[in-house]
This record gives sequence, structure tokens and C-alpha cells, in this order.
Amino acid sequence: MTGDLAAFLIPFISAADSPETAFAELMDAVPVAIYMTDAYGRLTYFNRAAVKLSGRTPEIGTDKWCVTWKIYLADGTPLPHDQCPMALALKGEDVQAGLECMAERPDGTRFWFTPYPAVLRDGAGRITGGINVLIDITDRKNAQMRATEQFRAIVETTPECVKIIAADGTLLFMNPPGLEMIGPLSAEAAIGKSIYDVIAAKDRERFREFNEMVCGGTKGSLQFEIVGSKGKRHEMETHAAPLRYADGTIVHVAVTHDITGRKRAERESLLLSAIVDSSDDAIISKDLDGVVTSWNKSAERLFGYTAEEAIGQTVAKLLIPNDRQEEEPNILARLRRGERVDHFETVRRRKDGSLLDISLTISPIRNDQGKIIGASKIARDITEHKRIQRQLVESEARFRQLADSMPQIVWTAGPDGHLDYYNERWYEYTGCDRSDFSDASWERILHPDDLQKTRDTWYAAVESKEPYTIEYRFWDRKENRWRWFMGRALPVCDAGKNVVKWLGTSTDIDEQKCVEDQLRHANADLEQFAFSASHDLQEPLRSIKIYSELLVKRHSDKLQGEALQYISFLRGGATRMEALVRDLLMYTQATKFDEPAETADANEVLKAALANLGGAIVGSRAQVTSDGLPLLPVNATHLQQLFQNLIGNAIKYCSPERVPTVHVRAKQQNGFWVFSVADNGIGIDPAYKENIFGLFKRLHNSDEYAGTGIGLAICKRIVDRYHGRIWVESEPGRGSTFRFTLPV
Amino acid sequence: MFLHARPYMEPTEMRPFEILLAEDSQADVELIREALLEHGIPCSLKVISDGTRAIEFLNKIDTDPKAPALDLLLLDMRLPGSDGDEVLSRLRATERYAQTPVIMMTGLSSASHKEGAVQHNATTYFEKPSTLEEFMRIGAIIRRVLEQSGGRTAERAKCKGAT
Repeated sequence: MTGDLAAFLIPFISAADSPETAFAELMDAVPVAIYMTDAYGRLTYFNRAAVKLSGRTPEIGTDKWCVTWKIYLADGTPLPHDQCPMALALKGEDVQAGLECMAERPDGTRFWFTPYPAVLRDGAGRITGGINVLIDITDRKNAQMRATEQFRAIVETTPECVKIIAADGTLLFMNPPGLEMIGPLSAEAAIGKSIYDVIAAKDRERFREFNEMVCGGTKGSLQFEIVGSKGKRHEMETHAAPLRYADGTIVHVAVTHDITGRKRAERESLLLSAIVDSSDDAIISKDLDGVVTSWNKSAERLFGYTAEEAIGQTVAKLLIPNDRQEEEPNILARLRRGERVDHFETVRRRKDGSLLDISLTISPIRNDQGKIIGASKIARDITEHKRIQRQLVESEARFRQLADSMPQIVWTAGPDGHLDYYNERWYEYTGCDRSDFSDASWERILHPDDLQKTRDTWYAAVESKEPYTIEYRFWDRKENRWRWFMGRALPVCDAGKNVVKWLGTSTDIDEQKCVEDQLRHANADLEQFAFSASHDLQEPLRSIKIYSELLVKRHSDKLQGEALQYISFLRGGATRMEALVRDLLMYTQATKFDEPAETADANEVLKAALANLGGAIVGSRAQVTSDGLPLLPVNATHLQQLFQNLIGNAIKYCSPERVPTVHVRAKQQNGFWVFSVADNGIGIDPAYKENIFGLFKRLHNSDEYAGTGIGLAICKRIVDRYHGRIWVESEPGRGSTFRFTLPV
Repeated sequence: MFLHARPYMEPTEMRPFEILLAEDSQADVELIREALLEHGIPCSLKVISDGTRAIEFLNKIDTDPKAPALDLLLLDMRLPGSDGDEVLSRLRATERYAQTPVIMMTGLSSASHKEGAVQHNATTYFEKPSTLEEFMRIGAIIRRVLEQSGGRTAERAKCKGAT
């Protein structure tokens, strides 16, 4: 409209007689710069606003209007004077309407304007001059430029990615933080390329649809993942709006930020809350005034309050029993100092009023400035633990009481073999320092000859977790001599078969040891004596027998009937005594075999016994039978003596009314072989069934049945040696069954 | 001597067998003499009743070239003084009598005595029985041992020739 205004003014100005007319005054009052030139561009008129705009008063008819200015286009390119809109208009060319130009005054100041030139023509249509209206747009232009600068400054300083994308995905613009995110890339490397290339494959199609939507004119937000040029993934969130250019094309302007950290924090927070919720411990947070701010599931279970009931209440009011109210201020004071409370064992109250043993761990919570804003509190139910602990203390006390009342030395050690306890007896015996649990405490009083063996046994047991029994000597400080002890140690294991404790005793076996030694010597002496005695006793008997024989043989003519009878008594006595001495020797030797028992085949042994009894069996026409007999770990000689004595007896004490039969069998019972030797002989009066196994015990006189009364004693001695048993079952007149047990 | 000699053994040479009997039981000495007579073994029996003296005797005859030969040692295992074992090992250690046959005698069956006898290379072993008949068997044993060592009768003749 301003151009139209200039055209409108032309007739008025042309009609004026001089510039000094009232109309000219009016023109000067117009706040828009207006000037006129002749066809050569020389000034013919200008108003006051034009002077103000140009910064000088030009000379009419001489000066060209804009010669003194330097003129630039909006993009900064200089505009030569002959290309000015006015110059072009005077040349009769079309002039671009609304061109924004900047002029620099001679004093250097600048202003923006838009020229609206029009030409004056004469009747023949020749150009006679021009008129130009210059609208000062400096204020608007400055405002516009400020806005652009501000936009640029914002875009450049924001840490977010700011980008403009064309509908086909071409990146038109991206600020440096954005380039940093997708790259880092230079603007040259990124601008003009397809933005789709940096979108993670899984999100690419979604992003394309989103871009097309925005470029279709709709605002929106989207979360997606990009893969930077170095392969690093970022999770992004974009807020986009369509931007419509003057030419009608719409592009996608977006502010996008990296939410990788936030996402991770979200996931961590979810995980953390899942952990908190699934914990068996009550997890509570509170502020520095003790007001509950969070309350997990276990807290609900443990204390009986729901989260809704608890949050907002103070811990002191909810949980702390009256007699422990002073605890909370102490805890809060410690938290304010930044201290942690670790495994504080105390008592808290449930909603139903019952009390609970708990262990508390409380840590201060700081905000991101490091300021303490509250505390997290983990409460563990230790009621059961406490109960066990009390029981343990009680059982420990009972154990010590028991241990102190024992006549033995008692000690305990940890699983690694470190001693941790001795009973009173130990201190009485050794006078040892009550704090000394080192190995030296017992090695010091141990006999040097027993030291290595004892050490080896103990350390091997710690290693193998096996119990042991060992004998060693400890120094008796009161009697100034060594005493024998029997040491035993037993590992105490938990359900998982781990050793939790070693329990050991040392029992004074000195007297027992002495008696054993004496007994062993006495036994050896006795055996030696019996052996020698029986040898020496045999000798004179032999002489008595032989010489009484010789006497009868050589001097029968000189001997009367009575003398012959006496000599026969003499010989009979000597023969019986010979048998006695022989059996006695066998008795003392019955258990002499110390070598480990080999395996004997009872069938073979029985055969050998029967062979030895050959004469007696044939003489009595006895029938001896047996079932299949076992193999067993005993000395064959011993078993043979058993068979020989028992079968020999069975035949000897046979009934005159019937053919003697003997049957031998064995069966396994309660971990032993039970042998039986059954006969159909005269039997045994039950009154004697116990003492027939005694030495020299006889039920018949030698006139009826010859015998020494040692055979069954030998049997008993042999069976005893194998920790077995021998007994007889009998029905007098019908027969007897001897049974004995031997190891399997 | 209350037994009548019934000689069935003719000495191959003109002298009787030289037998040393180491035995402390007078009763057994008499029984052995009886057995020697019963089996008609012509012999000169030297009796020593003590182990230590038996060893002294062996030492003496071993160093004396004029001492008579020794055809048999009848040795009881249990002697006062030195035991039968010692007497036997001394005999085996002599120069002249190392090969002399030895009959070891013992009162009662005893494994350790038998072992000692074997160890010292006794020729045979006799367990003194307790009946007269059995005891007299020692005579047969002596006879057999003397016959078996007959290879040394030549030596006996030589010795005699030397004296």
C-alpha cells in the first residue's frame, strides 16, 4: 500500500508551485521518507523524514539520492548504486516489490528500509523522473534478527538434540549436541544424509512412520533407539512438530534427548523395588524425624501394619516398646551424623502388641547433594535365632557343668583343630594357665616318646574328620611321674556333615594299664610255669610207669597177688596223672595262638578231629554225621579241639542201650555261627549244666567214665577267646546238645 | 646190669662201638643200657650227667689225638649246666667228631626241641615214651644209625691202627 501511496501523492506534488507551499509543509510532517529525482536521478525534492533517514541534507539538482550510502541486500551482499530499485525503476525496468535493504550512512550507522520507487512520465510516456518512498524497517528488522539470533543461541546452547528432517528423512539441520549424540559427526558428514541410517533397525520403520506423520502436519513424541557411528546405542525420546515453510513444504522439527541413563535408572529402580518387595527382611525408609516413608511387604508381614497404615507415622509410635523409647532419638542422632547402625539387636512391637526380637541395620540416605535426608532400615526377625542362642548358652552351661563334674579331662576344639576349652580337671592336673589353648599347652606335659604319634593322630583326624582313640602318657606333677591316659576325640557334625566342634576326653588309665601289664606278665608266667611243670611232671610219671612195668616183667616170680595189685594201682595213678598233666598243658595253651585267625574250613577241621578220635569211634561203633559246615575266621587248631572234646565226650558218655549217634551242624544267628554237637547219650542233669565247664569238674568217677575234667574247660576257654558262648541243653537219659558260638 | 646180653650185632672190627650218653636221669640211663643189651649192640658207653661236663669232655677228646673215636652221641635235650643244644653245637664244631651221628632225646613232644635238633643237624630225634616196650625201640634206632654211618668204620679201624 505504501507504493500506492507514492503514486497517489504524485499529482499533488506536481501541482504545487513551490516546496514552500502548505502542502510541502504537510509532506514534511509525514513520518515516511519521500524523495523525487529527475530522469537522471538527481534530486528534485525530499521531505524532512528523508533527511532524518539519510543523515544529511542533500543538494537539490546536484546530488543523487543514494550516492552517499553503501547499500546491502538482506543476505549482506553489497548492492551497487546502479542496481538500486530506484535506479532500475528510472531505467524503466521492473522493480521487485518489498525488497529489504540495509544502508550505511556516512557516519557508519545503519538502517533497514524497503524502497517503493515509482517513475514519472510525460505525455509521450517518456520517463521524466521518479519518486521513492522509503519505509524505515530498522526496528522490525532488528527485532527479527534478535529473534533469529536468540533461536540460534538457544539451539546451540541446549544440551538436547535439535534437528530438522525433511519428509523423505533427509537431515536438514542438527545442532552440535545432536551431532555429538549420533556421532560424534561433523555437520558436513551428517547434514543431507538420511536420518534413518542412525535409527536402530528395530525402531527404523516406526521412526519413518512418525516422520511422515509429523511432515503430514501432526505433532507427536516417540521413544526410539539409535546406533551411533561408533556402534554405541542410546535410547532417545523426541518431541516433534511440523514446520511449514513459506513455499508450503512441511518439515519435521524435533527436540530429542538421550534417555539412556533415565531408562537404566528406571529399570534399576524397578529391580530395586522388586528386591525390596521380595526380601524376607522388613525394609523401611524414614525421614530424619523418624516418619516412615516406605514400607515393604515383609514389613507388613513382620509388624502387622499395612503400608497405608505405616507410612506417615513415626517409627517410635508404631514399633518401639515403651521401655525402649530412648533408642529412637539415639538412632536418629547417629544417622544425622552420617553414621550407620549395624546389626543392632533389639525388641520391637507388632500391631497386635506382641514383641519381636529383631536385628536392625540402619543406613543414612543422602540426596544428590550429599545431604542426609533420611534412613533406610532393614529389620530381620531373630526371634528364632535368639531362642536358639539362649538354648545354646544353656546347653553350653550344662555341658560345662557336666564336663567339670567328670573325672576325665575334657576339651573342645574348633573344626580347624584349635582348642577352645578345657574342663576344671585339666587345670587341676596340669596347673596350666587358663588362657593357654595353644598346642604347647598339651605338648608340654606329653611324654616325648608319645609326642609325634599323638600329634600325627590328632592332625590326621582334623583332616579326615574321623574320631580316634589313642594312648599316651601325661606328666603327673603331683606324683612326679608319667601316667597313662586314653585320649579320645569325636567330631560333632551339623546336618550338612560339617564338623562344628571337636569333643575330646583324656581318661586316666594308668592303674588299668598297670593291672593289665601285671596280668599279662602273670599270664605269661603262668603259661610258662604250666608248660615247664607239665614237662617236668611227665618225667617222673614216665619212670614210675616204665619201672613198675619192668618190675612186673622181671620179678613177677617174687611178687604176691596183693603186691601185683598195688603195682597196677601205681601204674593206673601214674597214667591218670599223665592224662591230667597233658590236658592241663592243652588248657594253658588253648588260647596261646596270638596270630590273626586265618579262615578255617569247619568241614576239614571236623575230618581231622574224627581222625584223631578214630580208635574211640571204631570202639563204640558210633555214627558221627554232619551238615555242610561253614568257613569261618578262627584258628583251625582251636576248632579241632572243640570238635574233638565235644564229640569225644558224646562217644564217651554214650548210653549202653543204643548205638551212639552224634550230629554236628552250624547255622548263622545274630552275627555268629552257632555250632551244635547233638548226641543220644546219657544226658546231663540240668543241675550241673552250668558248672560242667569248670576246670577239673567231673560228674562221674573214673571207674564209670575215665576223664580229667579239663576237656569242657578247654572248650570254654577257646570259645571265650572268640567272645563266643558255650552251653548245653540236655534231657537226662535221652541225650545232650552242646552249642557254641564263633564269629562269622 | 640186670639184662642179659643177646648180641645180634657183630662188631665189624675188634672193638665195641664208642657211645657217649649225656643224660642226667639215672632211670633213663639204665633203660638205655637195657635197650643196648636187648639189641645186642657191643659198645663202650661213657655216661656224663651234666651238659657243661659233656662239653669239657668233647673239648678234651678233640685235642687229644690218643682219645678213642666216638661213634654216637646220645643226647638228652634237658641237661643241668649247658643245655643239649649247646652240647650238640659244640660237637658239630669239633675237628674230629663233626660228622658223628647224634640221637637227640626229649621227655615230651615239644616243637621247640625238635626245631633245635634239626637246626644243629641231629641225626635223629627220640621222644621218650612212657611204656617199656616203646622205650626199648631206642635200641633199634641206635642200631640203624650205627649201620648207616658204617662208612666211617674204616676210619675207626685206622684210628685203632694208629694206637
